[in-house]
Amino acid sequence: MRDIQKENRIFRKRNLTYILIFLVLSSLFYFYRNSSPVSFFQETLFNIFSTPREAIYNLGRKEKNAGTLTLKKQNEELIKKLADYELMKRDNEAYKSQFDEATDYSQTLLAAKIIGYLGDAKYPSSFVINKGKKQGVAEGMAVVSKKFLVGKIIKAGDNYSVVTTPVNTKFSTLAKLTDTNANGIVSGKNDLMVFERVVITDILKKDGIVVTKGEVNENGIGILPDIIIGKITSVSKNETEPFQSAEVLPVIDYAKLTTVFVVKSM
Amino acid sequence: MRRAGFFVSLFCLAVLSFLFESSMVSFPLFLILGLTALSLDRSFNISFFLFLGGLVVDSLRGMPFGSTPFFIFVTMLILFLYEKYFGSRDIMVIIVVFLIAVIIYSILLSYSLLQLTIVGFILLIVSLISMFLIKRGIILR
Repeated sequence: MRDIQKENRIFRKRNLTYILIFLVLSSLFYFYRNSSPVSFFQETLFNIFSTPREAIYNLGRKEKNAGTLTLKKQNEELIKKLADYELMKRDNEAYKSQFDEATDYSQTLLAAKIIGYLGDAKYPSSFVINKGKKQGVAEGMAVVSKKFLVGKIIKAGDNYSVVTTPVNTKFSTLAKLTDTNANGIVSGKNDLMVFERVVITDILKKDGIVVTKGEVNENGIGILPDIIIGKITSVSKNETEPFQSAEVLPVIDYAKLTTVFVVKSM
Repeated sequence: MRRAGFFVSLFCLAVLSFLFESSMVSFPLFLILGLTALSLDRSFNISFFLFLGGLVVDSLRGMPFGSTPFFIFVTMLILFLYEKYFGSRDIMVIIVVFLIAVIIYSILLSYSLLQLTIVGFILLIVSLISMFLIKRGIILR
């Protein structure tokens, strides 16, 4: 009886030792997570799992109902057209031609496949794409799909990158309203965005289209102007406060996205 | 032989969880698998395998490296200390500790809380039915 108890005690002590060793090792890895051996390990794993992950990610992302797909596409097209129209109406058509703009973008776009996401499928907080530093991707670059903003690169590995979406609480960018040109900041709030810091004298209205104002640094990296962020669903205005805000919903269907484009430089 | 079978099953489930968790689903499959495996077998081999597996999940999901094994072993340490000081291996305590660990892990590492709630609810119903059947002696006699 005593032998069994002694054996149990030894067994338990050994288990505790394993747990503590692995706990210390995990903490060490966490603190040295940006070191080169860790990056090498991550890159190798990404390369090994990249193809099956892409295949699995694409599973079930095709629209089953052809009618719904057509309507969604038409809706996206209409919003895009409305944004284009309002921008063109406001600015001089000669130097703000959408055709010229599209030509400039196409020269700097890099197609990438989404291979994973974090958060909810409908409003993910981040995406993982299969292009990285080796393909010229750098932190801070914008990621688009057609004329819609998908997000911003927050981490670039050699062959992969992490894209933070506008609904992520860590995301914020300068934005404006297409029709009234009201300026403000769009920041993520998990499943929606908030268009805030808009001066009270500016006009914000429901269904208004919010586009980027442009945040490009001296190296030409950043978010280009006039990329569609989303549509205003409600406005919060109090005459006694200097600023007003609005809730913005993304226009693109994140759950169906498979290919995106990284804007490498202007 | 039985142990080898357990390890092979664990390996296959772990590979599946790597693939699904890092692409299609936003649910902490590997954490749940790891905690369940460690509560059944606390050998060095299993611990080492889960440690490596946790690092793989962190790498593939682009999460802070080492966070998954850290969560697995902290949870196991809590369970171990509970067993040491209270002298029991109550299944309810294990479930509650696992549940809390999974919720905290999901919130901190951006997993889908909607998916977690749905699967958690299904698991709760399954475990309640299992407990009822065990009590009645219908299964695990």
